[in-house]
Amino acid sequence: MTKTILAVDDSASIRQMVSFTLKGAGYEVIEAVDGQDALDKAKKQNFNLVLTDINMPRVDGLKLLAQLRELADYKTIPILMLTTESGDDMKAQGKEAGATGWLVKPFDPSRLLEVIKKVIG
Amino acid sequence: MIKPVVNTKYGFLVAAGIVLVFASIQIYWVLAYTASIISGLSILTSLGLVSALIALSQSHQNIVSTAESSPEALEKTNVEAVVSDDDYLSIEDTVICNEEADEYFKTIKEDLSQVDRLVSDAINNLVISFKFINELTKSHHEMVTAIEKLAAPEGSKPILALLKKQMVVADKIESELDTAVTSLQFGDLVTQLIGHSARQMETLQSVLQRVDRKLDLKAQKKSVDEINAKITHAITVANSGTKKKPVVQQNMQMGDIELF
Repeated sequence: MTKTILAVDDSASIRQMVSFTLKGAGYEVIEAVDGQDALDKAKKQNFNLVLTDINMPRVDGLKLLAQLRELADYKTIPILMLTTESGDDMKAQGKEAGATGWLVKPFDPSRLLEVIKKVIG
Repeated sequence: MIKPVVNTKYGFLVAAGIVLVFASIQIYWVLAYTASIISGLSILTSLGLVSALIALSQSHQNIVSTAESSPEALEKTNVEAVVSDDDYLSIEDTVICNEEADEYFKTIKEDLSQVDRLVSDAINNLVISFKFINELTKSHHEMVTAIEKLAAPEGSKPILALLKKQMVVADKIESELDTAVTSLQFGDLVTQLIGHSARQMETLQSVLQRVDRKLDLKAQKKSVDEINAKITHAITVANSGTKKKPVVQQNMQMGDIELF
């Protein structure tokens, strides 16, 4: 069964690169333009994995992470942070809020796929 | 019977190969061009800020000169200006962060917006080209596979050798596309950096406008030192008031990965 990934980023080019990479590997990808859009979509549909940026308008990635973890369906769903932020303090916040992993941009397509396969198969 | 079919298809294949190679050269040319824009951005920002501060310092020197030549005139201006606390700040701001400096800040912000628009436009075009090349690569791969099936097992050795070479070319293009996926993320990094610079500039301008200039008309030299110290303080406040720089990457090498 095809696994569905929610890709959240306010940058259209990043969303396109993520989609290109994941669709090429056989995943279904739904895009969200910010945290609020992601929350709306996550409440309507269940995803196998959420891949989200941090710095976004309206609801940022860390708030999205915290709010998703409050939803029953997303207590254990892997949530990966894909961000330019590489500071330890920010990573610690993400880890505490329940992030599954931290990927610093720019991502390499094959490494991104490796991580995703490791997390959801 | 097979040979003419192979030749016709092979012609398409060569044409597709040429188009792909040409398109790849184009995408890398545009990437190089965009990289030069990014380099220009950091220089522009640094130069802009330095120039704005020089303009501010010059305005202070002008104030001192005016005060030295005609202290009464400056005092009169100040006295007239003091209507209320808000007005006091507002009129004083006109002197501290004068129209020239404000105009300079405005120009820098417009330049940053222009760079952002240029980068966004470039990245949009690159992504369109990228998708086009990706589609062509897929077709190319499918074509080579189809021709290979038609040619085998009776296909001549030279044709099969050429097809093998085409497959190598197709694989190389696919590998380059993967590299391009990493490089094409520069747009997001640049946009975030521009946003950060613009916020820093706005904060600095805002803090400078709030500098409480209280010129001691009897000790002008001291006042200049005080104003310079206040500008330095304003820069410190602006630095601490803005969010931490969101992008520290110095190149487009892939970032770290950590699973918790």
